[in-house]
Amino acid sequence: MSEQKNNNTSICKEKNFQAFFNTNATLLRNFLYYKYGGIEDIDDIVQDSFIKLWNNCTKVTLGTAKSYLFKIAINQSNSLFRHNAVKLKHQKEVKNINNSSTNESPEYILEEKEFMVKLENAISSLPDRQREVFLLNRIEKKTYKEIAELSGVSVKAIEKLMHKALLKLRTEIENIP
Amino acid sequence: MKKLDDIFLSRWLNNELSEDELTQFKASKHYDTYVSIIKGTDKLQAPSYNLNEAFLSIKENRNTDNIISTSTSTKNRWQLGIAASVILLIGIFAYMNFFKTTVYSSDFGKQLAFELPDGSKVLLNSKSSIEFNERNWNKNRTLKLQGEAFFDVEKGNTFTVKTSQGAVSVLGTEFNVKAITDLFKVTCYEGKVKVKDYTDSSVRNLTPSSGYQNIKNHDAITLNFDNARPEWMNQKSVFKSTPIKYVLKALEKQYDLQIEYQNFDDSVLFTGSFPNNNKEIALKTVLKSVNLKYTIQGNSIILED
Repeated sequence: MSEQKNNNTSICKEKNFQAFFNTNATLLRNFLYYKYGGIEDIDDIVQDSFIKLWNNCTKVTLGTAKSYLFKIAINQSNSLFRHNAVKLKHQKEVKNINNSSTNESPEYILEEKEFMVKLENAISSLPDRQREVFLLNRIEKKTYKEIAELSGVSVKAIEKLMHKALLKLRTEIENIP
Repeated sequence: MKKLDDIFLSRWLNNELSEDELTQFKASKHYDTYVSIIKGTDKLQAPSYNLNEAFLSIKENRNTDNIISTSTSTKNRWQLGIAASVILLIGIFAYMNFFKTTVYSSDFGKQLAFELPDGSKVLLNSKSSIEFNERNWNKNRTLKLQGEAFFDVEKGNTFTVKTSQGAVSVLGTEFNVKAITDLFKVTCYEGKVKVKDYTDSSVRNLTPSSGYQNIKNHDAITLNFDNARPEWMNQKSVFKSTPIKYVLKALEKQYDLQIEYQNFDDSVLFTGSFPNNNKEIALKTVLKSVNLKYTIQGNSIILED
């Protein structure tokens, strides 16, 4: 049996593991979700991946834990399923509660609603990789470099995927009457 | 004119296009669609995720794995495994249904309005979040707040706002709570508000047009005001005798900025306000008032000595 190291950064310790979980779980989950859709399956995979990481905590350090975690999760997702719909929440925003209804005419609001439906459909129909990169950048606010590190490719590759994603979204949206 | 390259859309999002390229891109008939796509996507978010719940579930599953692997009888292992899994599954479902919480959060510079299950209204200021248990709401009107929010509470049993620094409870009223690192501020607009400050365990009762503010390393003060609503609801952020550090933090939150400085005393007190809808004027008002020069680099503001 391998002996557990008694140092303060070991992720075997519950406190350290929880801190690691809190900083990485949401990103891992959304990363997988943007790519594959199907939130229940994703939540299961996130849970399994963290359990695996914890059970193997003596083999990784705090520095290598993140890439180990993402590797486990990506492997599991690849073998498990293909493409469920990616549904995103649409937040209602208010600019000013005192006169929230003044500037925007009903026509404008309707047009915006229609546009959002088109946009969400177009995002759903993007190839997995393009959608993953596009949403990580736009929703999770990750830089191209950070996204490149997550999936182990070059920044240039991410820039190309991002460009293609926008191009595809634009053609999809303009071609729907 | 040079043709735009095959990653210019990526570069555009990163503000990396040269002036010529940008002019050329803006002239294209597709430019508006691209802008709408980005604006639209910025309104989307992933389904909400409860970290605490997910972590507890991991802890439970993992512990069960350990119990199974340490059981000595190999014959019983299989049955034991199934039994344990069934019990665990029932437990998780019961747990998840009971403790399922709802989270609302707002991004940089955005406000978010919503209603709680009892009809009470909440307006969240930028970069803030609220978490509560929807199922149990009418029995236990308690929610957790990070950041700042205004509440218009329907009459009923006690309504409690918990923050990391203090708790605020009321029966039915209108009030505002701001709780960011080391700063806790509550203002009452209607009815009666009870404030419990965790830092000194003191309890205070606020009446309309009065408030309470406690900043780490400063004396707690009582506030009196005559506006009918918090200023941030009118697109303004107002401060009274507040260390400039918190004013800079508020600017960062409102406009998604990073303000960097070195040799500057950030405990200088600031009394004044800045607009929430004009970045240039906001920066000027705050920084000029304390005689600071600054340079803007993308989202970073660098203060000069």
